[in-house]
Amino acid sequence: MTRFRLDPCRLPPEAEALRKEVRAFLGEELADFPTWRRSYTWMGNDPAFSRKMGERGWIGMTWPKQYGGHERSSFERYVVLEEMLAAGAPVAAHWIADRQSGPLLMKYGNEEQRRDILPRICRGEAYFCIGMSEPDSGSDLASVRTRADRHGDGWRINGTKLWTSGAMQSHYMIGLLRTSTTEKKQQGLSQFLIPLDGRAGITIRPIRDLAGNDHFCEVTFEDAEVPADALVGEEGSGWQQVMAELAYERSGPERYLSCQPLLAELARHLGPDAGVREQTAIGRQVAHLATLRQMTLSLAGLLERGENPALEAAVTKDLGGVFEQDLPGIAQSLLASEPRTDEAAADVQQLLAHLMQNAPSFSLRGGTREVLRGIIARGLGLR
Amino acid sequence: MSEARSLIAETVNRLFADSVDAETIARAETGVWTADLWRAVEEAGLTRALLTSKSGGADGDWLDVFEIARAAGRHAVPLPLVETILGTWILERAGMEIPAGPIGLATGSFPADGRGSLARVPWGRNAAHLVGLVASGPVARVGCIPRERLGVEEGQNLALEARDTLLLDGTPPTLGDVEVAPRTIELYGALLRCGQMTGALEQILDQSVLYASERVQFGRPIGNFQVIQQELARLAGQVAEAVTATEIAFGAAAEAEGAALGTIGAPSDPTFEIACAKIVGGEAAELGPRIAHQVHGAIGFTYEHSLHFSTRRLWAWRAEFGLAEAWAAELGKAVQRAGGEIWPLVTSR
Repeated sequence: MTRFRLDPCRLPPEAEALRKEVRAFLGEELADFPTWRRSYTWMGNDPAFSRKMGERGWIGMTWPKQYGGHERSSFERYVVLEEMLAAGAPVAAHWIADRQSGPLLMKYGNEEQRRDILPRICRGEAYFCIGMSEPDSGSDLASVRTRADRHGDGWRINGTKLWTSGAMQSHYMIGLLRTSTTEKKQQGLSQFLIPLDGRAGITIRPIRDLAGNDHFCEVTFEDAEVPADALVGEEGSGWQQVMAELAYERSGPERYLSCQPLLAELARHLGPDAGVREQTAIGRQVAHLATLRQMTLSLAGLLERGENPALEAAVTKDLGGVFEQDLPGIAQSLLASEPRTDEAAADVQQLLAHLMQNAPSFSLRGGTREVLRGIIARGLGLR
Repeated sequence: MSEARSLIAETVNRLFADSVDAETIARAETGVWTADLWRAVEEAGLTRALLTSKSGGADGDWLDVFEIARAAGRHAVPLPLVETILGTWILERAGMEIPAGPIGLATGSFPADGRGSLARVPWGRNAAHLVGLVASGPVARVGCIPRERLGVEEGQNLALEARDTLLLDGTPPTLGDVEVAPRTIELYGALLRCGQMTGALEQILDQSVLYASERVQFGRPIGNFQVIQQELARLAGQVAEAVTATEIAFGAAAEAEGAALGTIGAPSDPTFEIACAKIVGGEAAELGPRIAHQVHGAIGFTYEHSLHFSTRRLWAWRAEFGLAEAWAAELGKAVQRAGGEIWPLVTSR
C-alpha cells in the first residue's frame, strides 16, 4: 500500500507572530519595488536586501548562535521564506547559502570554516553557488568529470561546471567533483568548498538566458588550486552528501510559489466583479495553492523531525512545477492580452511576460520533472 | 497519524478486506441489498462513529471518519455508510432520537409541508429513515421521516449505486429543536465523498503499480519502461495531492466542531478546506482513472477485472455534492469579492 508521509503540520503561534513582522518589513522595503521584478524572487539578486534580512536575523535562523545564527525553529524560518517568495522579494543572493551550503558546512565543515563563513552568511554578506551540472552531465549527475587531484598539501581542480546559478555574485562554490575513477560512477565523488576569490585558474562566464538575464554561468577550472581543507565531508562520500542536501533543495516553498506575484496581480486585476469563468479559474488556483502549501509544510515538519523526505519532496516539487507552469497560460487566457515587457505595459502584462519566459526553467532547475518522476517511480517500487 | 487513527484504519480495512470482494460489489450493482454486510458494519459501530457515548457512539471525530470513508472508498463498500455517519451526527446535534438502520440524506431542501419529491437520494430505497434540512433563512431545522412512508422511483449513479427519487406523502417530517446551518448536508456530504475518493485513488494506484510489475511485454514487466514509470509517478502525485487536501479538510471539520458553517474564509469554518478538497480531489478523480486505465490496457476495460469498481465510483463521486468546477466558482467568487487577496487568505488557514 503506497502511503506518503505528508502528515498535516500546523505552524506554531510564534511563527505566525513573526509573519506579521515580516509583512511589515516587506511592505516598507518593497514599497517602490517595480512589480515586474517580483517575478524574479529567488532569482533576483540584491545584496543590499540580503544584508537587511541579515540585520533582521532572518538568515541562518535555525543555526547555533555561536556561528552567528539565531536558534529559531525551522517553522519560523519557513514563514520568512514563504512570505519573501509570495511578495517576490529579491532573495537570490543569500538563498543557496541559507538553504543548503550553510547547513552543509555546519555538518561537515571544520571549526575554522564554521567560525569564518557562517557568521558572514548570517549577515547576508557571503553568497554561495552549487557546482553540480557540467556540459556532459545534466540529469545524469553521477557522471560528472570535473576532477580534484591531490597536489602538494592541497587539491588541484580541472574541468567545467555549467548552469551554475549566481556564480558571478558568489563568494564560494560547493562543487561536486571527482576524486577517483571507480567502476561505479556514484563512488569517487567528493564535495569541495571552493573560494571564488579571483584565484588563478577559475574563470566565470555568465550565460544569457532566453529572457536576456544572466543569472546562470559557466565556471571553468584550469589547474585551480585549493587548500586541503577545501574537501567537505568525507572523500568519496560526495554522492550521499549531495542526495541528503537535495531534500532541502527540493522541499521548500520556492518550488510552487514562483508565479505567486502573477496570481496576486491577476486576482487584483480581475476585481470583485469577475465573471464565472474567471472566478472558476481563480478558485481552482487557490485550491492547488493551499494544498501545495500544506504539502511543503508537511515536508518542513519531516525535516524538523530529522527525517529525509526525498520521495515526498520529489512528489511535491513535481506537482508544484506543474502548478507554477500552468499559471502564465491561464493568466493570459483570462486577461486576453499580450505579454509585454515594455514600460508602458500594465504591471500584470509585464509579470506575465517575465514569468512566461521563465516558466520553462521551473521543471528543469533542481532536478528535471523526468528525474523527479523517476525518483517517485522508485518509491513506488517500480525500479 | 495518531495511533488511535491508525488502529481505526487498520481495523476498518481488515473488516472490508474480509467481507467485500468483487463478487459482493458486482451483486450489489445488480440492485441486491447486502444485508449481512450492513449488519457487520452496524455491529462494528461504524455508523455511529461521530456520536457521543451518551448516544451509544464512539466519541470519534472527523479525522476518525476520514479513515472510515477512505477505507469504504478503497473497498467500494456498497452501503450508505458515510451517509448514515453524517445522518446520525446531524440528528444528535439537533437533539433528536437516533434510529437504527441506514439513513438516506436529502441533498436538496426538505419541503416543510411534506409534499413533493426528493431527487437522487443515496441508497434511498434501502434507507430506514430519511434525514433532510428544512431551510428557513440563514438557518435550518433538521427533519426526519421513516422511509416506509415514502414512494420510491429507483435510479442509479454511474457506478450503479442506488440514487433514488423519494416521493413524499404530505406528512410533515419530525423536526428537531436545535437549528443547524442550511448547508450542513451539502458540505459534509462533499467532505465524505472526498474521503471515499482518496481511498479509491489509493486503490487504483496500488492496483496499477502491481499490474505494471506483473504484466510482461517486450520481454519485461511494463513497469520497467520509463514511459510507464512516468505515468504512474503522475498518478502518485494526484493521489498525494488529493490525500493532503482531504486530510486537511477533515482536520478542519474536526476543529470546527459546533462552529458556523458555509462561509469561505471565516475563522473556524471548514468550508474553505472542503472546497479545496473537492476541487483537488475532483480533478484527481478525473485524471487518475485515465492513467490507471491506460496502464492496465484492455483487461482493465472489462467488467471482469476489478479496476472499474474504483474508477466508475471516482467518476460518480466527483460529481456528487458539487463538481470541482462548481466549488472552484464559489471559492473564486469569495476570493474576488473579498478583494482578491489570495495569499493572506491561504496563510490564515
